[in-house]
Amino acid sequence: MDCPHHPRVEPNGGGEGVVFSIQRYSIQDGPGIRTTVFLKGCPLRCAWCSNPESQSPNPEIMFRSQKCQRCGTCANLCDVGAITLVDGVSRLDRSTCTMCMACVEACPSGALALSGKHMTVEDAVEESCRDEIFYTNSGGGVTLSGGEPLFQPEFSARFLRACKDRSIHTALDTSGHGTWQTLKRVLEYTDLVLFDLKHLPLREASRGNTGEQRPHSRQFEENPRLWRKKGLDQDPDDPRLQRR
Amino acid sequence: MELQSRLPDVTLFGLNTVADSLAAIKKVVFEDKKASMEEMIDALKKNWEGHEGLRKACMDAPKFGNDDDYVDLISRELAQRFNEETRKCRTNRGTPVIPDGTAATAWWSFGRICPATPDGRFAGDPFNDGSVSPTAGRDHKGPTAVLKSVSKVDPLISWNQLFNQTVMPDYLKGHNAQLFAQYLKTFSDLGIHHIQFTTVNRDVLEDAQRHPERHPTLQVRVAGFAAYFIDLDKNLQDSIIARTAQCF
Repeated sequence: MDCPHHPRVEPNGGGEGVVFSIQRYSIQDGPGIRTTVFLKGCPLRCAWCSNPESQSPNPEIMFRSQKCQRCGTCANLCDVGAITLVDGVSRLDRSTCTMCMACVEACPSGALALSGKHMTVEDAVEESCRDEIFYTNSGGGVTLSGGEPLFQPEFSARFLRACKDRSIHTALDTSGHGTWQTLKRVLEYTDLVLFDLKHLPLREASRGNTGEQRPHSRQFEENPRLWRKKGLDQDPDDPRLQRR
Repeated sequence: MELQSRLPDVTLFGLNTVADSLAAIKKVVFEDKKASMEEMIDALKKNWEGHEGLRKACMDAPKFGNDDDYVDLISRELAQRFNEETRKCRTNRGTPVIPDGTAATAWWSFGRICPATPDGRFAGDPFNDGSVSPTAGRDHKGPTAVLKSVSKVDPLISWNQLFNQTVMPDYLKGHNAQLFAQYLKTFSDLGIHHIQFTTVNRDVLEDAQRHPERHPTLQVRVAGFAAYFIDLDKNLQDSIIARTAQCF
């Protein structure tokens, strides 16, 4: 089991990442008409998280109980008995599940669905740039979000670089939680940062709210300070900073 | 054009129901080999009863409106071949017959008498909306992907294509209005010649079904024409409500 607070080793040296969703016509994640790429995996566990299904770094099977027809197909099918029926509704035991996907493929109502899939940088860029003509007309582009993009730093950097190679505007939606090295590398290919600053200074309360662990807290506090030192937030016209 | 406009025409509708159906057969029967053609025909005859698994596989196959060439190019080829065949026809007086995509509400009324189709559609359900819109509820990637799909079907070969989109009124206000203008600019750049927008909230339409007396003047675009919503048949009202509302 991966520790949620440590980025795992990125597959294929960052040539492959876990993408949670690619959302076209995003108009709240930066200027113009954009496509937002949500990466899976986040070191934080914020109480207000809007995409909790993006916290774990691995693909997961999601279950939407309101869609379940209570047909029991999945429970009959599961080889390892990871699905039991409670009042007709399926319950998935994630510790025994082997992610064979037989239930997801068979579920007639789509209540069981896979969240997150492995994608190569090339495929992710291909999918994200399909609306290029809309970006050109609206001053839009691609936004990398999550999860936390810095949790898959090499993939993020390569992805953003490939977008820049195509002259596409790039935005990074981040809590800033990663090493300074990582941030610097990713920023090379970033035109705009949407900085989701959590609590500063770090207090007990913020630890509770974000699930932030003590050994990492220095980083968490230091990154914004380093930003300030670099003069990034001194200049209100700096196009890379935009207050949300 | 004056002369041509008086020629008899062959009207195209259900184009993307056919495209989605052929894509489902290609994927499920020929590529994934999850079912034989006999099973597929049997399932359709039984209106999918007892074949829920097969219907799921067919529903999961690529669908028009998601900027997926797998099915979009089938739709394009269908429109082309429809055009070629129509132009071979002559009336009994020897005059040419032209292809036409006006469709009006045929996609809805003829859907009512058509048995189940391999795209996962049940018997009696409407075909795809308009003549080139995606089937209601099957476009999952937002309005830009729909425009991209539609742009692959050349409108000129069938002269006119009926394409409906529903936009929530909130997405036409303030900052969004500017984005919408840019969206329209791109629609024109993509070479699509027509979209018909409905910009009424779903809640309002549902309220009008329940309390027609409160909405005597509510108008909706049906198909190349606007109509008083409360005058429409309940089933047609339902299918207008079912058009995918683009909430950005």
